[in-house]
Parts: sequence; C-alpha cells; structure tokens
Amino acid sequence: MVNYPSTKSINRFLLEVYASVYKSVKVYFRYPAWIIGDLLATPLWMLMFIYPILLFLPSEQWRSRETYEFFYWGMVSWSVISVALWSIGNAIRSEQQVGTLEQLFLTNADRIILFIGRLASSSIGLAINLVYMSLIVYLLFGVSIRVINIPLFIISILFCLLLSLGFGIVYGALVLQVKSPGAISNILQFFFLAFCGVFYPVTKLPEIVRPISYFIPFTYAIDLLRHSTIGTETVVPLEVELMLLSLLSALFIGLGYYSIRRVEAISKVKGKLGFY
Amino acid sequence: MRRIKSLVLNNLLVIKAVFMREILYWVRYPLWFLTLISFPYLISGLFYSIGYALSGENAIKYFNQRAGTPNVFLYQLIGSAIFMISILIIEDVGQSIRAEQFRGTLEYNYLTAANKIVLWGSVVIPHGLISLTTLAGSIIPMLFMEIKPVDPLDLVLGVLVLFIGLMPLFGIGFVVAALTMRFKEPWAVTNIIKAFISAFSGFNYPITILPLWLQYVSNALPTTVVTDIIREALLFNKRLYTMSYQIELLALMGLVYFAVAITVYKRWEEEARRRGELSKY
Repeated sequence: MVNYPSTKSINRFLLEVYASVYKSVKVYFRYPAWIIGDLLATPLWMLMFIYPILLFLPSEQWRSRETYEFFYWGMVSWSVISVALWSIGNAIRSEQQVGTLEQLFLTNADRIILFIGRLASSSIGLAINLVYMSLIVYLLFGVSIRVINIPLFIISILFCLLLSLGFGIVYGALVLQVKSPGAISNILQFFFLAFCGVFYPVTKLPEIVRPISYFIPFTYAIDLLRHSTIGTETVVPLEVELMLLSLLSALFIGLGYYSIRRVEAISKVKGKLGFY
Repeated sequence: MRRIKSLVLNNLLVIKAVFMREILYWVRYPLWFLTLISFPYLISGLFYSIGYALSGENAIKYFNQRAGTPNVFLYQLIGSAIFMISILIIEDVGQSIRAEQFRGTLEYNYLTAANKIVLWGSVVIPHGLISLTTLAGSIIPMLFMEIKPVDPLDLVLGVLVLFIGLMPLFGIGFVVAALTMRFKEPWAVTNIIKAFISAFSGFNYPITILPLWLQYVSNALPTTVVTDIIREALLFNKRLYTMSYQIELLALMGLVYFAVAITVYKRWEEEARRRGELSKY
C-alpha cells in the first residue's frame, strides 16, 4: 500500500499535483525557444517521414485523403508514445543532472506526483501539435483532418495519456536504475513504431508478428484513437477494447508505483540515487 | 620555429585531453553504441515495413520506379547511416558547450590558455571516430550479405569523401555552438537545423520527388551531396573518381560553411564574454 502523506488527504494530494504541474509548466514556458523550435521543426520532421513512405505507394494514393489522415494520426500516436518514453524518464534525468533529485526524495511527497508535472507540460505540447499538425497537413496536402466520433476521441486521448503515465512511471523507475535513458528510449520508440500499428493497422502486419503487437498496450490505445477519428475497424470488439484499456491503464499505474518505490529503496541502500 | 612547435604540441595536448574525456563518456554509457549501430537498421526497417504494410508485394515495384533500385534496404541503410553521422556532428559542438554550462565548468575552460576553437572543435574527433565506426558497423554487414565487391581505391576515396563531407557539418556545429553562447538554449535551434537537414537531404528518398524549387535548396546542403556520392558508389557501382565534380563541390561547401561558422562563433563568443554571459543558462 502506498503511504505518502498526500494519499491521506485530498487537499494535500491536490496541492502536490498543483506544485508539480506549476513547476513543470513554468519551466516549459520559460524557454519559448523550445516551443517555437518545436513548431518550426514539426512540419519538417513530418516531411522527413512522409516522403520515404510515399515512395512505396502507387501514384493515385499520393492524392488520397486517407493516406494523409492515416499519416496524421500516426504522427499523433507517435507523439503519445514519445510522451510515455520521454516525459517522466527525462524529468527524473534532469533532476539528477541539476542535482535536485536527492532533495526531492528527501521530502515526503508522493514519488509519482513529483514527476507528473512533466506529463502536464508534455500534454500541452501534444495539444499544440494536434492543432498545428492538422493545419500543416491542410496547407501542404489540402486535406482537412476530421474526427468522426468526438466523445470516443476524447476517451481515447484520455486512455492514451493514462497509459503514457503508467508506462512512463515504470520506465522512470528504469531510468533511476540504468541512469542514461536516451539509448533505450530510442530503441523502444522504434520497436513500438513498428509493432503498435502507429502508421498502419496491426492487421496489416504478417500474422507471425501480430501476437507481439497484441501484447503491447499502446496497440489498443492507438487502435481506438484511429477508430474514433477515421472509423477504421478495431482489432477487438469496441467494448472489449475499452475494458482492456481501463485494466491496462490501472495495471501499469500500479506497476509503476511498485517499481519506483522498489528502485528508490535499492538506490538509497546503494547510495546511487543522485548518480548519473 | 620553437614557438610553432610548442603551439602545435599544446594544441595536440588539448585534442588528446578532449578525446580521452569524450571516449570516457562513451564508455560510461555503453548502451549508446548499441543505439548507434542499430539505429540505421531500425530506421530502414521501419520505412520498409510501413511500405510493405501499405502496398504489400507491390511496394518494391513502386519504390524501384522512383528510387531507381529495388534494393530498398541498402538504399535506406546508407541514407540512415549518413543521417545518424550528420546529426551527431551537428549536435556535438553545441551540446558539449551546453554540458559544460550545466556542470558549471564552462568558465574554467575559458580560464585555460587553450585555443577555444580547438577546445570545442576537437569534440568532433572522438565523435567522428565513433560515427565512422557506426557507419562501417552498419553498412559493411549489409554489403557483405549483398556480396558487393568494393574497389580498395574507392574505399580510400569513400573515407576521404566522408571526411570532406564532415567539414561543412562541423561548420554547422560551430554555428550551433555560437547560438548556444548567445541564446543559451541550443535544443530549439538544433532541432530546427536537424529537421531541415533531415527533411531535405534525401537521406531516405530521392530528392527528384521534391518540387523543383526545393530541389535547389536540397542541392545546397552538403549532406545531400555526401549521400548522393556514397549511394552512387555503393548502390549503383559508380566509381568515385568519376564524380570529381561532386567531390570538388563538397570541398568548396566545406570551406564556405566552415569560414562562415567560425566568423559567427568568434563574434558571438566575444559578445558573450563582454556581457559576462558565458556561464549563464
């Protein structure tokens, strides 16, 4: 059972969340160059990905609306995976680098909430990207992005964020242990890109590798996102997918709590908490 | 004469110290080696698998029509490996200054008598070595599998082309360093430069599919020329000595980029010193 002071009182809990989010959002807006850089670079990264993919398509698909919609939602899904891999892991890493991790761990604040703020700033970035990329797709390719089921779309985004949180915490614990997360994050990112059906439905993958996809929780979140926006078939019936996502989100958040407490305890014994 | 000798020896000492430090960092995080070796394969595999998932058996046919080769994997692998090297070189100089700022050691570096261009620039040597090893580690197994005969003269010329190709990138790295000095936050600028170079260098597609005006932009990038030369040699069996025009163009680009970069860097470094902003971040 997690037993931080914040878990005993809703006011304390909210205060900790507020402090964490406030700090992270403040840092995010303190470097406006990051935001501007992101906005300028996003369409260029999109082109870097879309041109090689277009090489494999027949000419008529170069003008098809579906091609660009698939691509747009693929980019959004990729951003979700990036949030999961980079936000909490990087938050821990940057606290290590500026030498404040040990001080933070001396407080009685909830360990998850300490880093949850980074998820908030990443979500702001994701929201900006969602709007901005749709504008870019419209300007570059003349395709306006549609969402056919808005309530389901909101639910799918919530699941994406919850899964990112859960996975991010588990991954954050790994960062505490192995220190340099960049290398693993990069490899994992490509693994997920290939097997989660980010740019194509997993049913298009060879049958032999599909079981791998079905073991990755992001497969279902991305599938639901695409179903709610462009109406593709879900890999499992919709009700089952919603239930599965609820269970997986809860499971990963629980697992995250356990792993970060365990790694913290081990690091404290070995005196390696602030090492990087 | 003695003064020149001592100058050369002192600079070599700086290069050696930076080399040892950077290699120590690399060895400390061995997982990065795995990333560097595997990244070109991951990028190539990703595009290949997306293409296959979208167009099935016809994917290679469509690819061949546009890229002029059915060898999708080697085409993508060469581009991805050069992409990795380019990104590493561009990031290195600026990032090394940023890391010193974070650690609070930048001002100590400025207190030493070392030449700052040599001090920051020599970071590229260990990273260049790692990059070239990466390129070799990535492409040689694939060439071996393809049983591609490589002429020893072409191999020497290929390494030379890569070195010449690194020079303009080194120049871009110095511009990033200058921006780091001036604006503190290099990530935003590096991200834009990286994205621009990645999008228009034709690492993973032929630039002929771009609109004509963008092809002109693309041809002004050294990375486009390097990718083109290496791909022509390894994939289309073109002899490197027949591409003297492209190699000369690359050398010229190297000189221009480098000269502009050093001028910009010196100017902004001087301004940062004057304003007392060297170690602020």
